[in-house]
Amino acid sequence: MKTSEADVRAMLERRANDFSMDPDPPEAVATRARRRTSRNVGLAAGAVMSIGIVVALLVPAIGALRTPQSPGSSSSASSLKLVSYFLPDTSEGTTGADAGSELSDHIACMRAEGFDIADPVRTDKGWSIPVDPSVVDVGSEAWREAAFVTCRLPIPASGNFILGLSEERVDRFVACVGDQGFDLPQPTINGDGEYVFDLTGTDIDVSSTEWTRAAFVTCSPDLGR
Amino acid sequence: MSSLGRAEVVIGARGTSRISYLYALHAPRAGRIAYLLTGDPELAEDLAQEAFVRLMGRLGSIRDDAVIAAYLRRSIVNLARKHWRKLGSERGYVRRGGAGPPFDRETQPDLDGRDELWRALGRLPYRQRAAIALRFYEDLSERETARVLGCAVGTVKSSVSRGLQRMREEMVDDEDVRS
Repeated sequence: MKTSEADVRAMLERRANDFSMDPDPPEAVATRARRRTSRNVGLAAGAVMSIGIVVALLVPAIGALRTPQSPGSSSSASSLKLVSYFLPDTSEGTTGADAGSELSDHIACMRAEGFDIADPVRTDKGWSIPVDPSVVDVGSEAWREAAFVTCRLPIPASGNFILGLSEERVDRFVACVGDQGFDLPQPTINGDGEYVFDLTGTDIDVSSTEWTRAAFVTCSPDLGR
Repeated sequence: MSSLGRAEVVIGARGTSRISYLYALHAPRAGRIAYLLTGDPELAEDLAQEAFVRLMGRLGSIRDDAVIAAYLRRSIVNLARKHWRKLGSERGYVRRGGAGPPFDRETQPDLDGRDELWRALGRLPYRQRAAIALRFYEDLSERETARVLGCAVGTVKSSVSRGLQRMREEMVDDEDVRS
């Protein structure tokens, strides 16, 4: 007979782990959520700024992603609140096994580094790797070092760097990477209120270890404060 | 190094994806709690989605992640309670020809007897089940559990105690039936 408190805890844990749901909201839910949010536009914007610390690395160069040597590749992380990585490629696969060798290598590498990340899931935005903050401490320096330095996916040599944070946090980030030797150009603000740094004309090699470590390890914690 | 042309690096929840971000961060856990309270994965997902939509209407006054999680937990507990009330009672639901309590549905081989425990949990009155889930899965204190359930601390203590006792009795009965 198994009815001790410990047995009940184990049963609940096991049953809870059996349950899974899509980490992306169905469109109907997102629409209802947007409607609710819009009633509190001013307040919600502030709330998002205080909560939203997501770092994602997107590679939407569709043509390049189709080339055999460069299957869709991107990584992303958060300084504190990473919820998923996205790989917006155009491959036909629908399971983690079809996600491409670079992504598979990345996942194997992360697991070898001791981070129990989930298999990628195909979404309408591309490959998504959900990360459960209760399982993986994405706020840790070790996680960021693994995700963005040790196990990082190939990163394009140039592009836009976008910060969807408050001006004060953006300033802190810019100062931090500046101290690491990376001078970001003057940003522009896009329609979503994000700060866009066009790195195309700069000498910053965003695929370099130095840059990824500066942006995602050394300066990342600052974004969460 | 590969050179894939224009690339985009995003830091921060972006525009419309902010909802997706918060959803991915909080909804699955809310769904797990709902599943423990209802035994029905589809209903659990529905409840998690409903709780999330309600949360979005309150974001102005809720900013901290822990507070968001607490809000969703409380929403789930209330939504699940409403669900059972709507059905009248779990037994009434079965009497009216329902498919039976979802906790009784077999999902996989019961290798360690935990499915019996699961079914026993499903036969508890809602408050006892919720108190046990909140105390032993969510690891809430008796005081926190009382706050979520909207009852006295003493009620939480007795609900947990009686719930566990009842589960033990169910297990004994099941063993008697088998032998």
